[in-house]
Amino acid sequence: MKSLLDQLAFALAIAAGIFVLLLAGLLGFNAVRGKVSTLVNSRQVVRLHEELRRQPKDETLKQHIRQLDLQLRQETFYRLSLSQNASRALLGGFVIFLLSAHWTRTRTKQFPNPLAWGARKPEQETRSTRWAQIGVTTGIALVAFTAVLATPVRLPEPLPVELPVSDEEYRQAWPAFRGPTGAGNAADANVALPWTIHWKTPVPLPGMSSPVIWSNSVFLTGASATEDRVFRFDADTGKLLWSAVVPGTKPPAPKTTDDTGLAAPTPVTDGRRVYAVFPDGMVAAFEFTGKPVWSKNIGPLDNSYGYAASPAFYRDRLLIQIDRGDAEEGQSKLLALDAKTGRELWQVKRPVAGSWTSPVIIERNGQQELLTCANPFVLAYNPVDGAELWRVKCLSDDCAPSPVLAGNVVVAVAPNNAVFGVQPGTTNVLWRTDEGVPDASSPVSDGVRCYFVDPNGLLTCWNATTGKSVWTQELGNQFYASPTIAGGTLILLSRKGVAHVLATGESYRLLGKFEFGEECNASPVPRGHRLFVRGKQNLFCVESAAK
Amino acid sequence: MILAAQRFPPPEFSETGHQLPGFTAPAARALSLERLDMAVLIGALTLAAWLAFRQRSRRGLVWLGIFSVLYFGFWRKGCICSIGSIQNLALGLADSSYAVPVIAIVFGLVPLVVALFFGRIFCSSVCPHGALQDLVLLKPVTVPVWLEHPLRLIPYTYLGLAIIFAATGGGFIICQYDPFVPLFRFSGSAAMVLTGVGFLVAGIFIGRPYCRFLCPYGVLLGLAGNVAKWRVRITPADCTQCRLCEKSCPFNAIEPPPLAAPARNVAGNKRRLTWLLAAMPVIIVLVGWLGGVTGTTLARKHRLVNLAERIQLEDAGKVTGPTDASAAFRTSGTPTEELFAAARQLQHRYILAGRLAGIWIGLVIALKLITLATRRPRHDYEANRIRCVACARCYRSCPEELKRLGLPMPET
Repeated sequence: MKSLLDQLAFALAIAAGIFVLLLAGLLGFNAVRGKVSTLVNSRQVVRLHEELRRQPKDETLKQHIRQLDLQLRQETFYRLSLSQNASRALLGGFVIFLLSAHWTRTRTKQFPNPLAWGARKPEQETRSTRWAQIGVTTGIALVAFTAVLATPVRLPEPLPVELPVSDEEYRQAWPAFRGPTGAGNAADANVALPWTIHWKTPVPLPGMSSPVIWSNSVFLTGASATEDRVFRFDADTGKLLWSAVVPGTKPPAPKTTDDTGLAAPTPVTDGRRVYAVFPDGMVAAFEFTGKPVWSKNIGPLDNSYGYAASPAFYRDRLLIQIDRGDAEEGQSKLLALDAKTGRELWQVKRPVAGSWTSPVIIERNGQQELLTCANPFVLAYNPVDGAELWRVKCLSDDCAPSPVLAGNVVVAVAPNNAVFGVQPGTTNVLWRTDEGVPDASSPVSDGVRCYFVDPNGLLTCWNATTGKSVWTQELGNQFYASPTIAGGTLILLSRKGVAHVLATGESYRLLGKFEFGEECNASPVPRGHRLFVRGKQNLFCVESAAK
Repeated sequence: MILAAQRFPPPEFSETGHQLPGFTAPAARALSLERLDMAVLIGALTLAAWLAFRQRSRRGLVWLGIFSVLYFGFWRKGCICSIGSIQNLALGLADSSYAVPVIAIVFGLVPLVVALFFGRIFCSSVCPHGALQDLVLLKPVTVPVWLEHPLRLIPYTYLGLAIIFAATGGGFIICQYDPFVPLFRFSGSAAMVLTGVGFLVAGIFIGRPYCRFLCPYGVLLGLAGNVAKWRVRITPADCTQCRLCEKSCPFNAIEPPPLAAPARNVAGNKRRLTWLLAAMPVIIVLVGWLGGVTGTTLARKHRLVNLAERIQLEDAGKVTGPTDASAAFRTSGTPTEELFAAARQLQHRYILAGRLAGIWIGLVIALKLITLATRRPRHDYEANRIRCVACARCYRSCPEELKRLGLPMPET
């Protein structure tokens, strides 16, 4: 006969058991419900936020979102509080269940009677051991089977080995528009006059892009209304090694002026592949063998004179500046593509108007920065993630000359207005001059002075640090090509194809001239004792007698 | 329970200009409290040994178990625990730049040292995981022998995997997949909360399922306890072979004296043993090879290998959209080649570690099969030194113990 206490304990165990089960079910339901209606998961919130992006000034919508946000947060906190309290109640219920169940079991437990079990049987125990052995063996087989199944039948192929190109290798080449630093300066080159034409090779398609060089390869781009092409020439012989069409569906050719053309952006190379951007929006990468690696359309890139910005390269990524329309239209952006695959890594909006300048990688305080220019800002970014580092508001109009780092001063040009010396990392404009302001060609610097030439051929030498004029000289020609410095020699290439060779320094000193015999708009590229020049029809390699 | 998923972004105050307070990290546990934890551990182990061997008190161990659940479990939130601390020790041995916290050393090694003298006394009532399961055991059912033995191999495998992952930087899987810590904390992923509840529900019927069939630390304690000087002695006098103790143990930890095998089986048993001894190196090599084969799969647990594979798949266009990790990597500017090189190196380390773990598991399997094929001479019912957790249930089941205590024999 059970005592009242035993009966009570039994009843309590049953009641506590039911309570625990019900509460556990409720908690489970609450957890599932919480997953589908929290602020994070609410489709309604996502939809309203999307709507707000389309109508950013809709105050009613904003109010609606706020109310919904508050409601969902209140619900979430209520559910959390409910969960916490229910968990504690669950624990309490479980403890009561255990205590009462233990009590009931202890009171009703029968002490076993060994006599009823009979004698142990050897056969039975041997069989039991045998089954244990079979169990272990089966266990091994199951584990082995699972392990083999879990292993991919086809193991991941060896991951491609591609050692990064060293900074030194990159600096030794002329891998991008205006060289590895974008300054147009090759300190170790020596192209002293007199020159002789080493070779001259026709370029199959027209373009304003300048040559880039890696080892003994010269790369160029060219385009027509029907195709975009990349060319590789042998630097020693001038032989056209290959001419590769950009794969993919070519977008319609954009409206452009003859002065910009359909292949103004200079390609860039990292020593493994060559990358080219075309004004129709196509971007492509080719191996040095001419085999296409990837291509994609990032367009539209159209702007009033035609797209002209050359891409920059940083470590493993291609950085493309796309400036279009007015600043208020918000069409301008900076885009980073994975060099190996063409995958977009990031893009950031730029608060600037359309421009024709090219971005430049500069080094400041041991860190690399991407320097850009467009009306109204000189703007620097972190090339890793596109984060803005600093900006200076000083530019205006249609910016085409690219910025250059002269010593510790950034020289930027606002065409038809002024040339500015800007202190990087600050908002300071150190100096400005409206003398000899270029409209297409970029400035160049020997580290102390900077040189720039205006559309009418007025060459100005300016001390970048002090902001004082050093000298000016009328050259009497029109210049689109950005000047280049090779060793102590300043080379300016006029549109008529005449190279003006000057000595850099505190005074104007013309060393001589050289005529290429055809129109030249691309920037000359010095390498050792040679100078590579793209003319309207031909690619030239001239060799210095200093060799 | 508060699920880890129940988190949400902070409100946006872009228009009001309200500044959200920054994130704050909870302060580390005070050093004085850590010292208290270590002192409590050593005190609890001493008390457990005294209760189990001197007092032979099941009730005392139950109360100590309740204390351990409350202190080491709910109060200390189950961390750091001795089970998980073996990962700290493994990482400390593999990576010289990692300084193992003193508390991890104490929690990892002291129970092992104690086990060298007193067996698995830690499991009896000091480990909150074991004590919790012990407390919920209401109606034990006997796990059949054919199932018990293969299941008992799982902890050895788990130990091998835990050491691999900890030593190679792949993570502390014992902590990640601990079923009871989320219960102690009232917080955790839904899957682990459910697993913990599942273990507790199973524990109502199956004695200590986690300790017996999963706990990697129990393996080490069992091996240490195998050489212990003091161990659970069921009867205080001569064993009457009544088998009551065997039936009282819910953990299949009491072994009867072997019966003489039928004559016709003797020759077969000898032959089987010879074959098993001969097959031992083959089993070890085979399982070692298998461990090496699974090394590449195991390597995926490492975040770098996982990321490298993801990047590779994304680049090959086999998956769409970046994950948070791959997007963060791509904006970091680190060349993918560097990542791939590191991932390949890790894969090789995992293959090597997998082979070593496989050899270990193969050795355990081979020894298990040999043990099953042999009969150790034994005259009385004895607690298995590896399996016994010193819970003291068997003491009061022994008529000789009752006689010693002057208690009446219960009615059957």
